Parts: sequence; structure tokens; C-alpha cells
Amino acid sequence: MTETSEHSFDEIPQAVVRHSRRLGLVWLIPLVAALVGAWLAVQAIVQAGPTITITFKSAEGLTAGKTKIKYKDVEVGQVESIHLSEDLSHVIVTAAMVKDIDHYLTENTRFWVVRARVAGGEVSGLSTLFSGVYIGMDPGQPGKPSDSYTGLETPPAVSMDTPGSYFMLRSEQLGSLDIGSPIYYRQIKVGQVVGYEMTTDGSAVLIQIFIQAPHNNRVRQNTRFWIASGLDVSVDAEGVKVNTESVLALLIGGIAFQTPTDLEPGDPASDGQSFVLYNNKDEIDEPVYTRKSYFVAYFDETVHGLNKGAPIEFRGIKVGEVVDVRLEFDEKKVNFRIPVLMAIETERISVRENGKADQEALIVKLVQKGLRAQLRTGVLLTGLLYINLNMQPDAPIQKVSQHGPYTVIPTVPGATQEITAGIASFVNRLEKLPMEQIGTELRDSLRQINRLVGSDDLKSSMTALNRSLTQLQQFTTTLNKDTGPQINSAIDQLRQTLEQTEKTLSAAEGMVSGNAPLGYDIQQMMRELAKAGRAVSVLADYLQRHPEALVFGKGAPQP
Amino acid sequence: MNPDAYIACLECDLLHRRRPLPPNGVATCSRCGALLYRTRRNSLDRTLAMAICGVILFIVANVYPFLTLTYEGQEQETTLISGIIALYHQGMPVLALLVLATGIFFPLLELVGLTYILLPLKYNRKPWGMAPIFRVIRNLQPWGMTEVFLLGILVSIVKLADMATLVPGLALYAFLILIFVVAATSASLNPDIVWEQLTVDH
Repeated sequence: MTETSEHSFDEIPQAVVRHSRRLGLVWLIPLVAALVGAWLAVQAIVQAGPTITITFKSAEGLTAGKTKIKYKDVEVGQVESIHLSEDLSHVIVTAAMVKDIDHYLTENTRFWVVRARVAGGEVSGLSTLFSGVYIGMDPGQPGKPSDSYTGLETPPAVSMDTPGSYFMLRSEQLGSLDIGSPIYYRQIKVGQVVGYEMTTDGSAVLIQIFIQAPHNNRVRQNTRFWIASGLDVSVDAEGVKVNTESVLALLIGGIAFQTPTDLEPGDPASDGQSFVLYNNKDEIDEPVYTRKSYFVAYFDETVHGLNKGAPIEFRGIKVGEVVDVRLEFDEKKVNFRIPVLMAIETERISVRENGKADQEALIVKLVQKGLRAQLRTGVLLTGLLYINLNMQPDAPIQKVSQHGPYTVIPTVPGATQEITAGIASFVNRLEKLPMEQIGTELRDSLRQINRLVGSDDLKSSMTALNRSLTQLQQFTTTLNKDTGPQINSAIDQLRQTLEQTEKTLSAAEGMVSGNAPLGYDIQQMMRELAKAGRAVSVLADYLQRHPEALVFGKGAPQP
Repeated sequence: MNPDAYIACLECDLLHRRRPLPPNGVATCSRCGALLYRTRRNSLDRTLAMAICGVILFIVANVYPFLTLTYEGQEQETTLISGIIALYHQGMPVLALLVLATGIFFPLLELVGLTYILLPLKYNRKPWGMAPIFRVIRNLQPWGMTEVFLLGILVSIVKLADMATLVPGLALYAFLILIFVVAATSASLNPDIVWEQLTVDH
């Protein structure tokens, strides 16, 4: 039965079977998943900001895929990878930035690693101790877009958008100042040190400072800056005074400034203007010299007592100081000389007319006109020497030579050397005296006197004299007889005259008596003369015994 | 004899003749009462859809951050792989390997494998090496332990929640859905529709 029914069913056509093209509702699930996935992917691509590279000296604390880049503590990017540069000198950090920050990534943008650091009296980045470091960013002024940067090693002290002015301070040394050191105005912090560098010749330090608005207007043309670090202790009758800018400045140093009130306030200083940095507040009234010219002077005499720092004076005005003293031996000439290096603060000398004259050329000219260096004793007691510069037009003309890079200023003998030279010339002159000739002549004179006394002439003279005396006696007798009375009257007259003379003489005696000044002077003179006579006789004695003393001096050892 | 017309009980091996089932019907063994087969509507379509969905979710779960842990300003962002790498570096390489296999590798293999087999089947084509691959997939199924992995993560989240701030990432949600998708894939799969495609050599 079934067979027949099967047969009969064969006649019925079969339904056409085909696959359903309609997608089942279940396909919505993967579709949604795919859409979400696609959306996420598209967003990732659209949201992707620029990729930048920053170079740092070291990647200390930085982690690829973890370290963030933040601006005002808002995440603006993330470090993607860190690798070394080809020459291993620095690391290159590749960072993906968020899209919004795109416009602010200019050539003026700065990046630095924010770490916990203590600088300028401020502790910053403490949170990074726990969270790890992050890279800070300062967009800076608008500029050309850029995608590669050099990271700063220290955070910029002042972010670009802070209003204020930059100034340069010129100082002899940096002292305890550092980037971030505060700047005080009336003991209120108004700015900070943002950088420092040495001048190209290395003679001074240039410190860049930033002063916030509106305090930057307080910096005038005549404003004085000084180093405020340190303690100013003064003791006087009123007690002990301690002066300091602030405890902070005491610890870390700082700069203070002030515009002198006694002068008319100058015009406001322009941005970037240069000032001199004084060492302390007292010094702001004293000029500070940061420009120095170096010269060398050779001395042949002893420089005992010439220390480093000894003053150099020109006509009594200090113009510099001794920097170095050496001893040099010249093998060719076999003699010693002492080159002394002198630092002359040329700023001390105000130049009239042409203020921009070449200092070196000027010195050369001066040397030609007779500028000479000389050693002088400052204080006789200590024997400390100083160098005196002076114009000596009568000095022998000397060529200007060079000692290494320094111009040489010729020297003239110093004061001590002058004395020695004087004694030497005196001895020389003494030596030239014709002592032997004098002696011979003296002897000849004595012999002639002797001969004169023993001669016959003298005897005949004596006989003649005897005869004359006899005649004189006869004449007197005659005179007694004839002219006696006349003489008596004459004698009377004479007596009167004598009386008057006597009076006159007694008056004169009063003048020359022992108590009178004239008499005393004469006595004194006589005594001196007697002393001189004794001295000459002693000298003569001595010279007789030691003729060589004339050459070698008294007490010199005998050869 | 049409082999597809018969089915053996998995438990007692009694051979039965197949018969069509009504909707929501269940065929049981006439001797021991064990489940023989049940109706699975659109088994192929559903399984394939779920597998594809699973692959997409899997990609999302692996690309995006899984969990961000913030503690005292220190931020730790993890992905599935980074967690495993961390385990490896902490001196537990065996455990890391196990987590990698059961949490990522086996489930991924299952999803990709199913897609590989079912997609051609949907268009009446037989993929190359269908039988051995399908057998491997069937054997892998018990080893996929994404739900255990997630459970472990949930426990650690609960424990860490007091100590640190935990920000669940996109991958965590994707992974959560993935578990259900994987379960749905297994549930909707009727292995018979694969085996039926194989011709029997006589």
C-alpha cells in the first residue's frame, strides 16, 4: 500500500528549495559589535593628534607608554617610545599629543621633565615622587608649527605668558646665585634669576633676570642691583645690628634692587638692559670695575713685600692691583728678572674727549711718553710694597715689548734701589780723590818750612833786626827829651779817648757775654768745630790704618 | 543506508532512528533517557553571527585599556596582554602561560575556527580541513575560561577598590560581553550541521 501511494505521490511536483537570502535577526548582534568596533577605530584615528619628538639628555624616570605630557596639569600627550640617538649622546622621546593641542605646538614651545627638585628656595614636583615624572609643556608665543623639540634640562623659571621684563646683570662672579634665585624689591619677591652665562672673554658673568609686571617699571636707568644674600652685621655704640633681606635669601641667595632716592628717577629701563651687580648694599655707592687690562712689568730688584693684591697707584690714585709675581731666569743673559702681572681697572680712569680709545694703544702711547712703573714702600714699618706708575718724561726712551699676551710697562728703579745707588756713587767719588798727591804736597810744604828755619838768611836777618832795635832805643831817648811834654798833652787826650772807648767796649761786651745768644752761638760753633776736628783726626787715623776701607767700607772682611 | 537517518545514544550507545522534531522539541534515548538532540533554529546563522561578533569584541578587548588603576597619583594602565606580561616578569611564567592560553588563546582559536568553518558552510562550500579543525575546536571548548578569568578580575577589583581608584576601561566591557557571546556561540552551535556536511566513505 505504501508502494502504490508512493507512486501516486510521484506525480506531485516537488517544491523548489533555495536558501533564504533574508538575513536573520541574529545578525544584528555582530553588526552592532562591528559598528561599535568601527566607530572606536574611526575615533581613534580622528582623535589622534600629532606625534612629536623631544630630545633629552637622559630619559631618567621616563617610561614609554606611561609618562604623560601635561600643560597646567592637564594631560596633553603621552610618551610613545624612547630610544637613544645614533651617537648615544641623548635620548629621543616620541610622544603622541592630543588633537586639541595641535595649534600650540610651535617652534617656541618648550618641554622639560618635571621631577621633584629643590631650587630657588622652592620645592617643586613633589607629587612626582609618587606618580613618577611627567613632561611639562609651555606653549610659548605663537610661531611656526614644529614637531621636533629639544627638551630643557631644567624647568623654565618663567612661563612665556607671564608679563614682565628681562634684564641683564653684570657681575664679577656668580656667587650663590642660581636659576630661580629670588629678586627682591623692598623685601618683596618680584622676580627671579632665569639664566646666567659667562662673557666670551670670561672676565665677568652675565645674569639674566626676570621681573614681573608691574614691578618691572620700578627698574629705572639709575637702578642699582646688589646681591642680597648674606648677613650684614654691624656693631656700634647702639648695639649689634643684623641686616638681611630675608631668611630665604640668607640661605639661598638673592638679588635686591633699589632706585636711589637722592637722584631724579631715571627713565624706565628698557627690556634687556644691562646693569652692574654689586656685591652688597654698601657697595652700590662705590663703583665696581669689571673691565680689566693686564700688563707686565719686569723688576730687577727685590720684590720682598710685594704681595698679590698689592695696589697699583698712579700719582697716588689706585688704578689696579698686582695679580701675579714670578721669578724668571734668562739662560742666555744669565740673569734673573721678576715679571709682575698687573691688572689695571681701566674703568677707574675716566677718559675725556674720546671715550672709546683703544686701551692698549693708549698705554703704548703713554709708555712712549714716559710711563714707568716703580716699586715703592707703602708703609715703612711693614715693608709692604706697592707699584707706582708715573710719567717720567726724562726717562730713557724704551720700546714697548710684549710678554706673552701682555704689554710690558718699563720700570725705573725703586726708592730703596735709589738709596743704594746714591751711596755707591758717593763711594765712587771718594775713591776718585787724589789722596796720595795730597800727602806728597803736604810733605813738600813741611820740608820747605824746615829749610827756611835753618837757613843763613834767617841769622843775618836777626843781626839786622838787633841793629834796628838799638837805633830804635836811641830814637826813643831823643823822643823822651824833646817831645815829652807834647806827648803828655797828647796822652791826656788819648786818655779821654780811651775812656770813651772803654765805655763802648763794655757795651760791646754785654753783647758777646756768656749769656748773650751770640756768645752762645759762637761757643756752640767752637764746640762743633772741635768735634769736627776730632772726627777728621779719627777718620784720618782709621784711614791710615785701613786705607782699603775707602773701597770696601768699614768693617768689611779683608781679602 | 543513510547514516544521517540514525543516531546513537551518547550514554548507552543504543541506535535510534531520527525523526523530525516539533519546535522546542527534545529527542531523548528510549532506554536511558539521555538527551539525543534538540531543535536549534538557524543554528548555523546564529553561531556564525555570534562567532564574528566575538572576534570583533575580542579585538576591542585586547586593543583598549582594560583597567586603569590610580594610586596616590601613580597611574597604572593595563591591558589583557600587559597583565600577563606582568605575571611573567614577576616570576610566574607557568601561570602566565596558563592565563594566556585559557583567557586569550583558546577562546580566540575557537571563535576564529568556528568562523572559518561556518562562513563557507553558510554558502554551501566546504572549508579545507573542516573535520580535523572542527574536532580540535570541539576539544578546545572546555579550555576556554574567559568567565573564570573575568571572575578573577572582578574579585581583584572588589579587593582593590578600597585601596586605589579603579577606572574600568573599554576592554573590560568588551570582555564582559564577549563572555556572553562565547556562551551563546557554544549554545547555538549544533555540531550535527557540520558533521552532516561530511560525506561518508562507504
